[in-house]
Amino acid sequence: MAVSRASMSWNKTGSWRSSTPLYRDKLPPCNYNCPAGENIRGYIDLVKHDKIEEAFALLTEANPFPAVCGRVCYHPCEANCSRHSFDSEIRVRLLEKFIGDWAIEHAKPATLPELSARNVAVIGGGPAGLAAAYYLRRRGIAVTIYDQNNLPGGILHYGIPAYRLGKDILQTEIQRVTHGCEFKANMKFGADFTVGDLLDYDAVFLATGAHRSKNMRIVGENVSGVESGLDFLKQVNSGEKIVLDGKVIVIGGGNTACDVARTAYRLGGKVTLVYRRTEQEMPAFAEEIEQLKSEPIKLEFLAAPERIERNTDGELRCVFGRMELGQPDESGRRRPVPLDDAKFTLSADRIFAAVGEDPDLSFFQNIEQSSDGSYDFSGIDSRLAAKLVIGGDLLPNPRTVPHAVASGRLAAQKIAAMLNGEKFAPPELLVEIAGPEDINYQYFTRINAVKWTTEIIENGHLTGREAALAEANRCFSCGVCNRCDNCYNFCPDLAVIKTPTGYQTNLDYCKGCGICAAECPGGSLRMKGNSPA
Amino acid sequence: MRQVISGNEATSLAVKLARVAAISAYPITPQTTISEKLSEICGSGELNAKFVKVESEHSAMATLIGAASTGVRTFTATSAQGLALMHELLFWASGARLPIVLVDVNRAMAAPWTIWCDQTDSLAQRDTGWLQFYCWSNQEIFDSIICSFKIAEELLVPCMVCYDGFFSSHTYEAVDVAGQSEVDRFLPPRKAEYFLDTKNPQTFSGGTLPGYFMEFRYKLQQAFDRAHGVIDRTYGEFAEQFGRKYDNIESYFTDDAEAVLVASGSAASTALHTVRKLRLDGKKVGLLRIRQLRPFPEQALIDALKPGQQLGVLDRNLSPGTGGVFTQEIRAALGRQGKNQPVYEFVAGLGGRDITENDIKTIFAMLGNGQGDLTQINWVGLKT
Repeated sequence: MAVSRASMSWNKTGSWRSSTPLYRDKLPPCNYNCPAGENIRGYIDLVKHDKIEEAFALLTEANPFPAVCGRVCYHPCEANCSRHSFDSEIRVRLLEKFIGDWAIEHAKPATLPELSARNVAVIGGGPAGLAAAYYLRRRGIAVTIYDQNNLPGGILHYGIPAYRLGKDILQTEIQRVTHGCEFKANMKFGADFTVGDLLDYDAVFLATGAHRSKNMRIVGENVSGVESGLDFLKQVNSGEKIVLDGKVIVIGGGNTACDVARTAYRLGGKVTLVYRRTEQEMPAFAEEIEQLKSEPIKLEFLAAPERIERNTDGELRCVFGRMELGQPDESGRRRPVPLDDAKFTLSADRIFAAVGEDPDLSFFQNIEQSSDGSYDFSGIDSRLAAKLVIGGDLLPNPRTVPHAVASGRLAAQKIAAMLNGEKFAPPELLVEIAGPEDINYQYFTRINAVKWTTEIIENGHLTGREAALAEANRCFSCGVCNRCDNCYNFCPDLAVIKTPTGYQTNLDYCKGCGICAAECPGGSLRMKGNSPA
Repeated sequence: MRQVISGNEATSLAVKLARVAAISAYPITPQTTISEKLSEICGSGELNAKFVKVESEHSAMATLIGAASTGVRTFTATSAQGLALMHELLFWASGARLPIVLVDVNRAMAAPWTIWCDQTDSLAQRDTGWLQFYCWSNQEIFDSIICSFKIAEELLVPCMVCYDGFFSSHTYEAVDVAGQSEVDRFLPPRKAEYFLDTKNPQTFSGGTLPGYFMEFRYKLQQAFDRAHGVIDRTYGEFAEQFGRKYDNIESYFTDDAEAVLVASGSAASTALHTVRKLRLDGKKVGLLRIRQLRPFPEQALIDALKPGQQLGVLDRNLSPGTGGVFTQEIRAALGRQGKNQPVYEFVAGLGGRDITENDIKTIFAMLGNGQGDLTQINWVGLKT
């Protein structure tokens, strides 16, 4: 047998190396696309290892509302999941809901830091305000939340219908989020308290949302029987008993319009939703549109209201003009263009307008809105302006729950920095996004998505812990080392060293063959350089 | 315990009882049922072995070269084109002195495409430095595999156990399957003197200059010289413990035979059946069954032959341009021993064609009445 008798460890084969393995994580597409900034891949990995409590802790570092967002977020993480084109995307929403529901049942009340002398007023108890309160209180800052409604939650409670987000779950989660904060109900800014009441606070976070329905700007929109869709939702969500036994017209194509139509249907109405463009241009989330279409609600596309009138016999009628799609507008969607003389009339008992909402900033004077949608608060009382931070729908962001939560979290960081006399710098994201080209698909098995779905999901829930673990186990861990040991196992030179935090390369012996990088399933390892490093 | 099993099942059971630690194989008919069974046995935990799935026979052999280098017992099985694909690595396994055991279920080499039996595939590997055995019964398959591990590990030479595709691999026979403790007593775990050790890195089969390469080859040849004795001793020990005796050349009715046929594999059993029938008719015919090609049992062959016998060789293989491989090997051995013995060459049964009792009778008739041609191949059953 041709074997060297002596050890060959003196032969440092690393001197042959022409490229070097580099362990560097990329940003997974789910994390990159999460408006709330959640470390989705991170908590999926923890669920995979049955560490649900740790997963909850990691998730709530970015978003204190997993039970809420598991139900109402539109989850762009799923749409951008690398697994989407492989078999089917990871059901992040179900995992998020699973973690949130676990916490509702099992999470122990957090031990909060002792309060410092700092105090902050949060105006508006919606997702942005509550998130800000949560992260401020966790920094030892005293928080008082002012809200015009009886219960906290804002749009979560008064806008989103109960069939999408149960009130019990919502209020239980809010209780945990606002733990240690003071909540002042039925306090409307500008009426029940004013700027003067805020001057004793070290900082003020303003997140009063967008609650004022836009006008349709047509003749007759103030006729009785024509109402704001959002106000209607608020009435229903406040527990008012409303019966709709006649014809209902809902005008609009956004999430509010969908919620109004579906709620009206549930209350007995014969509902027609009218939108001036087509389904493709509807601004509502795809999931909402799918659910809308699954219910017996009539959809009338390419029709815009022109005038509303009430006949002498008391009948409420709306005249619509027929539209066709023209050139794309600034949003990229094709603009509706009226077709000459093509009119039709629908009669109704109630007409709900849901053509968009604006913030109601009537508590201030001299507020200017610039073309990018942002508001200029520099004209307000300078004593308040110096300590004011704004968030939620007052920012020119998409009006979604995760965007609002993120603005609240960032506001908390900003206020904490402000109170410490520091300059706030938002944390930098990894710039490299992991893509399908980073995945070594050899390591993954396609599943029958249809069969899988019926096995793990029942009535919109994962069927249990096993199902959650199995779903989490499908994650590619795009661009992030999950310590699978492939590099360690495959290295022909035993040049991969395990460390407490990951792996290192023993450059004395690494020949730079690149097998480790080729066999890295998620692409967090790559080869770099052309000369020995 | 006696069980009625196929040749391929006999292989799988023997491998399991040999407590092999690493198996790698790529499916190819008629071998496939061996690797299927072994993967099941590994998957169920019945055998504590690593079954490495690969994309080719080349990788299967490469995998075993790595595994065997760590000092463990290894096995693979293949056929025809699969064995040919391993060719390069067969040299590596023997040159590196790794006692891998391989079953080749004999199948003709394409083209034209075929899955049926002849022995050209393994005979074409005779120069790769592997021991080669040819079996004629499922019992012999089982026994040979157990013995092969012991022989290979003592000599540090890889070993190929060959038997006929379908005729043996898929035919059911009664086999006495030894118990685990019996096999353990006969075949202790492999003890490697040199093996890959991450704590003591050594170079294995590294670059060797002209000053020493020939000496490594000389040592390999020495191992094959020593193999005659090791094989005899091992099969002797096996016979003592299990009561079944195998010789590298087995003689049947040859003492007074005027015509003797040399045959191997399943065709030898048809030949023996025919010899018995011809003996009843008073014909003085005999059979030499050759069960070992490497090392070639030259002395045993010489000892088995009597002066003046008409000698024929049945070759279920073809080396185009010369003829049957067994014929060439036997002629070379006789020549080296200074025997001027004429050898008639019969090629039959290529690509799975049956070698029948009538074919054997035809051969003996040609040997008896001088119809055979000594200068060229005598094709049996050839369509013209």
